[in-house]
Amino acid sequence: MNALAIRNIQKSFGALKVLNGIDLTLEEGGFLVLLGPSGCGKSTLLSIIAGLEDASAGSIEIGGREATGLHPRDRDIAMVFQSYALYPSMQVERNMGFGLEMRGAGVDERKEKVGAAADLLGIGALLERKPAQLSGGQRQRVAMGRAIVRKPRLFLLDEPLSNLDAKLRTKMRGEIKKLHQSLGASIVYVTHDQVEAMTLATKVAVMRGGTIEQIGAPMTIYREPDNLFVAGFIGAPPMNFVRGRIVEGGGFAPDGGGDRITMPAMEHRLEPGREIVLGVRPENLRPIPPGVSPEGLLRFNAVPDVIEPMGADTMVHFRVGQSELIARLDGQTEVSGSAPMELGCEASALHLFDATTEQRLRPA
Amino acid sequence: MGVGVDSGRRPFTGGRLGRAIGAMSETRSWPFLLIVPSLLVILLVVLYPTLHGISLSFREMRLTRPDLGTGFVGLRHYVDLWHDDIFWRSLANTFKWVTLAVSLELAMGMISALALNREGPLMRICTVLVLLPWFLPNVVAANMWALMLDARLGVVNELLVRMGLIDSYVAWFATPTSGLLAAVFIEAWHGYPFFTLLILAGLKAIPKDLYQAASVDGAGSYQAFRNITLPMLRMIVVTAVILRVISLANSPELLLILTGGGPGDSTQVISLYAFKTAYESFDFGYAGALSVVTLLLLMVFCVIYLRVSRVLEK
Repeated sequence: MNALAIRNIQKSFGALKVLNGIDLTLEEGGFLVLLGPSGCGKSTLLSIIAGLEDASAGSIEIGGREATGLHPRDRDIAMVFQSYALYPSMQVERNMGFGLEMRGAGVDERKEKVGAAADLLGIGALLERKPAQLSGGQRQRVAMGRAIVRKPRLFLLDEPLSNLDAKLRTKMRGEIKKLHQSLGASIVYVTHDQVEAMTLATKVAVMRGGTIEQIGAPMTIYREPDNLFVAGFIGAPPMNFVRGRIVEGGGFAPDGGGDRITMPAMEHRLEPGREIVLGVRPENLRPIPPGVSPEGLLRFNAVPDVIEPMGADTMVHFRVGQSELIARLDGQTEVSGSAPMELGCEASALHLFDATTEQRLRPA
Repeated sequence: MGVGVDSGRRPFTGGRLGRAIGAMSETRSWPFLLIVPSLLVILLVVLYPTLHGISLSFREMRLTRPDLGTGFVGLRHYVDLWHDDIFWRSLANTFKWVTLAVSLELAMGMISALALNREGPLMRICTVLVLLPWFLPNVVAANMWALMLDARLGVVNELLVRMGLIDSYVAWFATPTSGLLAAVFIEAWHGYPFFTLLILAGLKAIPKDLYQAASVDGAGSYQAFRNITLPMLRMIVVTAVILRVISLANSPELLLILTGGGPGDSTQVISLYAFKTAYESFDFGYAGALSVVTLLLLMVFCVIYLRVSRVLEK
């Protein structure tokens, strides 16, 4: 059974279309991340799933039950807000138990369930405090605790880590993952941070301008992005792109001049004159020792512009035609100032996109 | 040419005085220096009259009996107060008047603020309309209503008769109960926008996602009001009530115009009694004692009220 099934959800504010027909499903126990830049409609979609906003069209099923038009309290969901939205006048204990209280649970039941959730999150000592007396990380935990106390069908998390500092964010990210595994809960999680999406999700929906650009397992999206937007959004540093055209004899001429690039043998049918975009992830580039010319590699002659040693990795910035590229090389690699070097990429790690439609080119 | 054009002049530093002030603003005494002007004003227009009033309450000063002089009479005025029936009646009336009027104003202010806090195309205009009574001076509002409620030519009587709610014109200020209630109604009409304004500002400051969280948690609108809105407004309501009680207990003008304290002494409040003692009987010593008692009672009220609201918070 699906924990969530959304069909053709649309939303407009007056003439402004925010969501144009969203379809997606989340299987029981899955972790769906809605990923996209700000303004892509991901938070609006979450609000519609929660019932805090009405869709202009479409339907929602939660846990196999029709939920379109239901009040939030009747949807069997819990939500963690970006601001945490803890009730300022209530102590942590009442904050966490408020949902149970509103559903008529007795004092003992509330105490027991809140206690169990607090132990799980390590906030047992904070139950008497008010939200104002908590640190950011503690508030985040209380907000999580408030959500898990009720054991709902579906958890909705709206950028829950964005108000934490970098170190705490990494820590809490790990804890959310652990919680998901131990509770087996179904989660919908909104973020603009692709690292969170990659590390947490069982399924990622990359959104732009009110539509889903691609939906799938994180590694599938990383390995086979459907289009230029998804390719550029997933991965840090982002994928390198080189625009240009195919020339006679199977070569590639980058826009703005520069050396022709010999294309490795590929299964794609690429007729001469076709305009394409080459995509290469920085981590797929590696140096080729001088005098060696291995088969099946795409090769760039690079003159490093900037070299950033980061310890484990060394980032090398270089230019091909008009495009600026980054190579992420092993930290041990010797890279010296302006000495030219040859960088190569396996044909299998090469991404090809149509320059006009920006869609991925698949082997014929 | 590079950045930074040198015109050959030094940057403006405000001259010698400016530099002296600048240097002073770095010292520890600066905050105190900033307070000095307002402190002087308070000393002049608040503290001096208060002290003078207190000293008057221990002295004789009757403009109708210059022969008695202005000598020290100890606690005589206070002893007289203790045996003065009108004083006790005024005290009870003050309590009734302030309690009824402030409760009504708070209720009306809360309801109107909740209504105005909703989103809608006409809300801005409505906000201005609701605030209109507050713009009228006390004296104007009182005279306006005195005319509208007039027993012979008041428009209110005319409307109520036409609507069939009363048989004939009513003299609203002729009986103790209707007189007090009419005055309370007018005061509430005049004063409730004060609560509206403060509560509306408080409502606007409550984050929306608290209500969203409550709605996901299953709270209805009443529970959200009780558990989120009211606690978040507590400080504002406490402050507004204190300010309003003080100002109501101290201002006699509305009752002076509407009822003059009558019929009998049924709407005589302490501030009005003190005013009449001073400016109709010209007995400033006794009026001073009445004012001192009012001051003390208000101070006691503030302390108790703050304590109670703090206890409620815990």
